[in-house]
Amino acid sequence: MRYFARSVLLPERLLMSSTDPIALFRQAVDRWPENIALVVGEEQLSYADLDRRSDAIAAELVRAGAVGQRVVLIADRTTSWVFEAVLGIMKAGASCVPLLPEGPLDRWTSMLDRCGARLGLISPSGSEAALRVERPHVEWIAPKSESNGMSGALPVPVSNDQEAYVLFTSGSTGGPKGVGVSRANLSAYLGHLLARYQFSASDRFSQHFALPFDLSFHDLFVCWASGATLCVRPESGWLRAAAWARSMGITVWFSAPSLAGVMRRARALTVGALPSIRYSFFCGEALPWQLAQDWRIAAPASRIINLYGPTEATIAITSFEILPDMATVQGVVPIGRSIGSDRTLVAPFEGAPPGEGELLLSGPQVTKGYINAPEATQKAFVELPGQEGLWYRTGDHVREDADGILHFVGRIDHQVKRFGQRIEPGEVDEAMQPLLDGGNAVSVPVLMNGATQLVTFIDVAADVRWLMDQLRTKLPVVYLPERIISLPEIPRNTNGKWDRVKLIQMAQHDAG
Amino acid sequence: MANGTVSNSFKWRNMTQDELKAEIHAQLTTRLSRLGMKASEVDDELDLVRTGLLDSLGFIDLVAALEDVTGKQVDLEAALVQENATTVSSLLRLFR
Repeated sequence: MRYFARSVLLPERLLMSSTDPIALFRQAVDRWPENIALVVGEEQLSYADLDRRSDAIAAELVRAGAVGQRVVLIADRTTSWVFEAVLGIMKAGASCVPLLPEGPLDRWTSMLDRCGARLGLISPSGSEAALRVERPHVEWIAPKSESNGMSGALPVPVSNDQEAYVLFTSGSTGGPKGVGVSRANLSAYLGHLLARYQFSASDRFSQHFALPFDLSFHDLFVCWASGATLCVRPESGWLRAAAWARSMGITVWFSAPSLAGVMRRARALTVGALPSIRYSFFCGEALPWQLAQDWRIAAPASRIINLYGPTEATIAITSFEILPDMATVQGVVPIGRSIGSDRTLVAPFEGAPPGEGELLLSGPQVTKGYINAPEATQKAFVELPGQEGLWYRTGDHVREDADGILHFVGRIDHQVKRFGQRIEPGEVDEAMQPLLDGGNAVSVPVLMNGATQLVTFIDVAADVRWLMDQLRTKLPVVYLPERIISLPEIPRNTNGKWDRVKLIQMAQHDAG
Repeated sequence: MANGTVSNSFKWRNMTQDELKAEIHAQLTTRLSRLGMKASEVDDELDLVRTGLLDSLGFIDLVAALEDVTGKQVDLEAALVQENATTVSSLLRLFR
């Protein structure tokens, strides 16, 4: 392996924190230029290749005036291009706004409008064509991925405040909310994580998460900080994820617990089925103890770490390691303690038992709020008397035990998690309302066969088929209700609010 | 999906492809009726998961239900290597 000296000193190195994602990537390029950085489909890219190609995209973006701007990207992970583009956007000192390739178009437009992006990247597949028609005022840039002679360092100074990416979380009113995560937020996360766990340039990282979920940024930048190989799982590969992990020789696994649940159900978690894995990280939803223990049987050489954190506090902010000698306990694995310098605080709410309350977070990983949504920001990002800094209210109900370990109890609001995705039932209701001719819609979560389903009650007679077809054009598939139940009147409680407890009972009864 | 399915092992027999398809449609009936759809609208090449008809766990449950009915155990990991694995026609191949 040769060592390539870079001819130009990058200004951003002088400005940025030492764990800035791009600075870390560039260090890896310098140290391991010939290591494989990315495996996607039949393609394999070395660090030098990935660096050169993303430089070419960055150069094109800089020429188009993208520095400091938000750049929309339809994040189709079937080719290496989208990974080059993410790097290119960040190298150009711009902010990446990845959108789910499957749309729907209505959601793309609302997200684009919400964050006010005026630039978009044209992909080789042209999957953004419909969005280009819908939003002609956006300037669409067609970067040449191959180097056009502008390889090497781009003299783009990037400050810590520069946004790295924008991701959207479900909002109970007003549609999805945009969260802008800064380079400093991401640097803090990478610094915390890389100090705790030891990865090497021979590691092979799984890449399961779609790019519009922030956990994908862990995949990319933890891997590339280590000079390791990022292995992108094909979209349809969830059916045979264990065989895929074996064939790729995955050593660092990161997924939502629900994927492990699917693997167990498919009888793939047999003894020693995942022998090469040495780190297993789970995040995105509660990890059942039993599932963690079953995982250990399949991956006996692996450390198993439960990560917890909302997008608003950059990827993950607490962790809990399940040790082999721990007894299997009922319920879910604790979310643990802060992984770094961020602080946690359990704020008691009315009626909460001692030691329990809403989890609040503050520190370098916590973002500044929601984009163009001052009201939602004021509600969720608060100052506390006698406490320094801005605190993010997670809405998660937790319990802190005598050892200072945090346990997830539930939600203090109606938010639902499906396959690691946050869904506000109110967002489904809001999407359905205009279809109901003045009627009401109230969605509630129902646990069926161990999985959370949404059931939506409406108080008008409606063609369910037509409603579902309409919803499909507005919401991602995971948001779609399992069923729609029409009632003459939706019950209210004594306060005049929707009686969700009764609705959940009705939905459960109805399902049986 | 699998709830209500009884493993009636004494009834195992080789099913024809038509019988198998009818069984798949029967398994989907509840979900389909909730979406306001009829089984006849389910094309063999319709992707049951990408369309939101089933989620990933629901699909695995459907396979488990078909295992119960046919008495066959399939190796999902080995069998579902091709693209569009989550269609009716793929299931028909799997239990052929």
